[in-house]
Amino acid sequence: MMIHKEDVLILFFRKKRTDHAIQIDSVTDLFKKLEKVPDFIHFEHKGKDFTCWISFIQTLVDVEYLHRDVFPYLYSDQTHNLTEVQDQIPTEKVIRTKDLSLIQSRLLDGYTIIQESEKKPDCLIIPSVKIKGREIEKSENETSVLGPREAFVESADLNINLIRKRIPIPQFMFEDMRIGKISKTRICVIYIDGIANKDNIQTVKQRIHDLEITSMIDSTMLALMISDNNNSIFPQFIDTERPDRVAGALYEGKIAVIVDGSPNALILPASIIEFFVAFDDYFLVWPIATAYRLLRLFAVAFSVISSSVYVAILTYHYQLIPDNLIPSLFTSRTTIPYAPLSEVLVLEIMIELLREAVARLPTKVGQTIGIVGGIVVGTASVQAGIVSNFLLIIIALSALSAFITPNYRMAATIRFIRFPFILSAQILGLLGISLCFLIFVNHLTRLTSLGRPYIEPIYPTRISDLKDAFIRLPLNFQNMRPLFLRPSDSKRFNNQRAHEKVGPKHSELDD
Amino acid sequence: MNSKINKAFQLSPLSAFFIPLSLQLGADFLILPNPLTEQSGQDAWIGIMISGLSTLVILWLIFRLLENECIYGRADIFSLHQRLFGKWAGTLLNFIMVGQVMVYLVRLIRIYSEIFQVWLFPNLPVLEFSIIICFIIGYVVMGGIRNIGGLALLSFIYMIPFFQILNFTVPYLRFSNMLPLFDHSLISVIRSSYSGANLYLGFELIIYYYPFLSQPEKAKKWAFIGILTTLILYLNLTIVGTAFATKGALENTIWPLMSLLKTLQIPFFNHAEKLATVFFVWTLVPNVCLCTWIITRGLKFTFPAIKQKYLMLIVLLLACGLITSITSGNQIRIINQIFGTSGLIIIYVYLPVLLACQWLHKKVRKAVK
Amino acid sequence: MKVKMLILFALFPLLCGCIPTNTLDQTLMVEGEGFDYIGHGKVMGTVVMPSFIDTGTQGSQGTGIPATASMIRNLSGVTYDGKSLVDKFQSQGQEVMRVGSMKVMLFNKKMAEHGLSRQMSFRNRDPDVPSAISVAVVEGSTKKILTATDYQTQIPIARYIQHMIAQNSQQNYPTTNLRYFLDSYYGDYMDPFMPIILKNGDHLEIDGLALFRKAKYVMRIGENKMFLFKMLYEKFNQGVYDYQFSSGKHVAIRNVQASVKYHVVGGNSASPKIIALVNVKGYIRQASPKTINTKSTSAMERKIAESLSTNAEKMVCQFQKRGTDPLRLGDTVRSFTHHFDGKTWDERYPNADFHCRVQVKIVQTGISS
Repeated sequence: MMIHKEDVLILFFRKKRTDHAIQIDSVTDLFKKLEKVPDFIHFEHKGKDFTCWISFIQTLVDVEYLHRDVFPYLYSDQTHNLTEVQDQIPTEKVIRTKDLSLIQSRLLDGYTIIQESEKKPDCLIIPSVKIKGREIEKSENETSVLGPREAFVESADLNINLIRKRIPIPQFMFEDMRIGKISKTRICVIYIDGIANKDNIQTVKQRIHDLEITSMIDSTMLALMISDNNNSIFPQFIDTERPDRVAGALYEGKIAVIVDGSPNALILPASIIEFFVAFDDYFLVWPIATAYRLLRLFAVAFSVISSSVYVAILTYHYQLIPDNLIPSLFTSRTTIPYAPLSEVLVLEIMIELLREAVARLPTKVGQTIGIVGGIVVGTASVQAGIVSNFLLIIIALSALSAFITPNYRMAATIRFIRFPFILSAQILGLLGISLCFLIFVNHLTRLTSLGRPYIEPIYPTRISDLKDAFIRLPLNFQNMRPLFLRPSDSKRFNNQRAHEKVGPKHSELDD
Repeated sequence: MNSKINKAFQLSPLSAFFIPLSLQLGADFLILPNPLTEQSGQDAWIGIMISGLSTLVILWLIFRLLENECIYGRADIFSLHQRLFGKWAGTLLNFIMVGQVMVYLVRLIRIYSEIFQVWLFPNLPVLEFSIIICFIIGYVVMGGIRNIGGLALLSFIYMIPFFQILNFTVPYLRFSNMLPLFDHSLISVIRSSYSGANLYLGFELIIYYYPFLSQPEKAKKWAFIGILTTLILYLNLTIVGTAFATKGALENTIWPLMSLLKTLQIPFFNHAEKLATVFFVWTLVPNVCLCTWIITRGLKFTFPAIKQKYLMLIVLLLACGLITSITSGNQIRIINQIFGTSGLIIIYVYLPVLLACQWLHKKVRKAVK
Repeated sequence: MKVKMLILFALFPLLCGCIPTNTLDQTLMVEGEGFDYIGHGKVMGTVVMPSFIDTGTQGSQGTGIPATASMIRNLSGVTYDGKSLVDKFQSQGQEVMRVGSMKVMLFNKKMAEHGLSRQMSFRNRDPDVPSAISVAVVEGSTKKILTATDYQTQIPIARYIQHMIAQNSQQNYPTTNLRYFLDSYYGDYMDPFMPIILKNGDHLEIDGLALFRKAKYVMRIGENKMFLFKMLYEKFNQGVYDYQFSSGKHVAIRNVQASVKYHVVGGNSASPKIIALVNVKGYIRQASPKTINTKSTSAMERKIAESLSTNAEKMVCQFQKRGTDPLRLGDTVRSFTHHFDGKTWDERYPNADFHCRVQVKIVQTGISS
């Protein structure tokens, strides 16, 4: 259904562009433009007492609803003019307007327009949108073993519905905006009034408002356009397809943005730590959740550093290799005709090729390719003496570690920053890695997300935010909302009561 | 120039802890306890404590100086000089101070390039290395003082694992090397504490970035804690150094800490010292960045017309030139000496005198009125 | 600005393309050095490189060139004492020779008698060599030991020696490696020592300890005195002391803990009194039949203690006669004496009055009574 809507729009605009007239002066103009569109229905109804023009876009409109609930009132004998129609139709939010832009956007959203005569600008807009999209399904990209499974779909209303039922309070606020010179895409800025920081909300709205674009297809595009540093390879906002995560973020005082037609919500602002947090961490007991977080952190470090350390050590610092590793490393290396750098690059690029191929292919073919690439090509290249089997292990592990990152865009970043590291390892060995790391860290300290420092719990140091960063302390310790967000109400709950609630104290010994 | 610094550019009070710490570490902690054992042998740890405690007094003096200055406008040494000594003399003094920081900058990069040459790449060309470091300095300093503060903090965090390596030394330590306690005369201990005093240099640079600290009261507390941390760290290093090797063996090594690391067996890697060298990027870069920032600010104060960006370019080019012009180890010793002596004169002589001048100035003005 | 920065960053590779590489597989890793003294300051030096056995290239399933067998395994030649062997043999090397993973340094007895000071000062200066390498004196020729091909084991010879020494120093032999040697060599009032190894048919064995006076070999102590030596030298827990209480009757105590504490009286007097208090805890596994039961342990304890202390005193007496101090008794005296008179120590050392008091505790005697 959505696709159809898009088609209509595209047709519509093409025509407009050939006319060199983006402006439409009157309703008649609008209809004339739409005449050539096959699914545009525009006809005159001639009743006994009342004559009117009915126009709608067939593919966007729930025709059955029109026939059942709207037309009978138009055709009945008791109606004589539009006012009466408006009064009689048993639908809420029937608007009567002369505003051309409203009429246009409503018509293209699937509303039905009723006029007394074709030329008259005075219109009645009756909601008759046919909501048909994907059913709510399990989330595919951010899967979890525990916790809710629902994922967002492409309809903004449905998405808001998914969030709203998790936040049943009147403070739940959202503001509609229309973005895109041509597309006028609907964008909802969602927050909880009284928790979210007012400046943050203002900044988000301002940035969205100031966008100079023609169309907005997906929320990730929006994230790129409103981010603080457009050139940074680090994502500055979290995109998620899980309504539970969005609800959790809103309760913390963050802001969510939903773009109509996109199954991802944006969460703003975000600090770097949050990209390595999987939402099910909160569903596990804290020592285990902490262990998983540290594991993820280690995986990221391993993924970024491992292949460059291999290059550095094999090219410059043979002294660092532990005694018992030298023989196996030596024998697997001697047959390789290339320098460590080219060896690593060959294998890294091979893995990237595989990943890209598998991501673009249908699932079933993808699996096959994965197996072929991973096992057959890998083993064959070791046997052919192009890469050493030691390196194969390292690269495979580091590729695996990159995918541990819960956020897809962060995972892409991590895979990408390996290459500068590898090059600097070739140039200056471990010193080069260290300098390259320093440059990236400096980039991170300079980076902001919605004006808030990106690596916040670390610098500037906020002890209360560190409770939910590398380690996750028990929930009753987290009585403060993230200071990172400067929330309007920073206290979550009373710390003392939270600790008292643990229950009557007893120990086995005393009983 | 207006006296208030925009809040967005201010450092958190915690930075007053990390920045002096990272500046003090510099490159000298690697030679501990060598400068002290020469005079006081196994009692080196007393010497390092005495010089550490004396820096606490100096820090207190510095805070007095700066707090008194707050009412007259921006509380840094540049404005203070101009206020007390007039435009010309003040500018001259500013130049001398900036020159001393420049020596610090040049010396640090040169010492580290020597360390990297010895321990990692014997063929590392100094010019190329200093150019790379200067590029990085440029990139960091463009981010402003907050950015430098962030790097100082991270440097502290990354140096924690480095100092954890010292835990591996415990089985090697022979505490009988430390005995008998208090075997040296007070004079030789004080003399050794004098040669240990320039290990603490670097904390005094707070006279340049003090106005950038938000909540100076809190920052003061953190600055003291910072110096105490350095003191404890140095104390540990001195004790480990003296307990690890005999006096004769210490005399035969230039970098006892590195030789110590060389002996250690750490998991996963051989040659712990080469791995540790990699961490030194983190003691080097935040410090030289702060120095560059200070120098450019000093120049900017004198030549407000020129953009800080271009001043930085000039400073970095000059630094590259100076660094490469130091070719031999002997020249490094000389510049070390210059830095040590000038730094000690500044903190132990000049700053107290300045405090007295400030007080006199106030009295005289009152009397005139 | 951004574009400019990018271009500058792209220039980095050009800046540093000049650092020579040490690719692992294009390096000959010298793992062992041997020095045979041949008189007149000349040395027969031998270096060994490991040859890792491999079944040919993997790709060609064994039919291609043998991958690593082509590596040369050892080189030897005559040079002067104190010359870096790697530099000497570089012209014969098939790849670049590096000493970064050196494992063992061997000296023949003649070399040790000639003195190791040149070698040691050279090694102490070299940042590339790990300090944890094993050093040993060889009975016979080091060249023979390093180049022989008739060993039972296939692992490279340097590793073989290193493992053997390391394994033994967890038992009766004291911990030795280059660092300990250098530490005692440079330290005052102490002398270094090394284990002695020799080739016996198709295997190596470690046979006693070579004691030095500074860099020169003085005497050796045999296998049977190792427990005594280690007991007085350091804390340990894996040694075996074989006590023969009458002819043909032995009891062997395996210690679970042995520690030593020294006391010194009159450190600056002409004959300082040194008392070693040794505490040995151990169990008995090996004993002649019917020599020990649960009731007679305390008698046995006394006997063993007596044997230990008399033998230890005898051994130290020998050291004093030969003027060597491997137990660091001089340093112990220093650590107990305020204003220690170090200049006359060498004369006083032979007169020092050494006492050893041993307490033995047998914690258990095994599962048979």
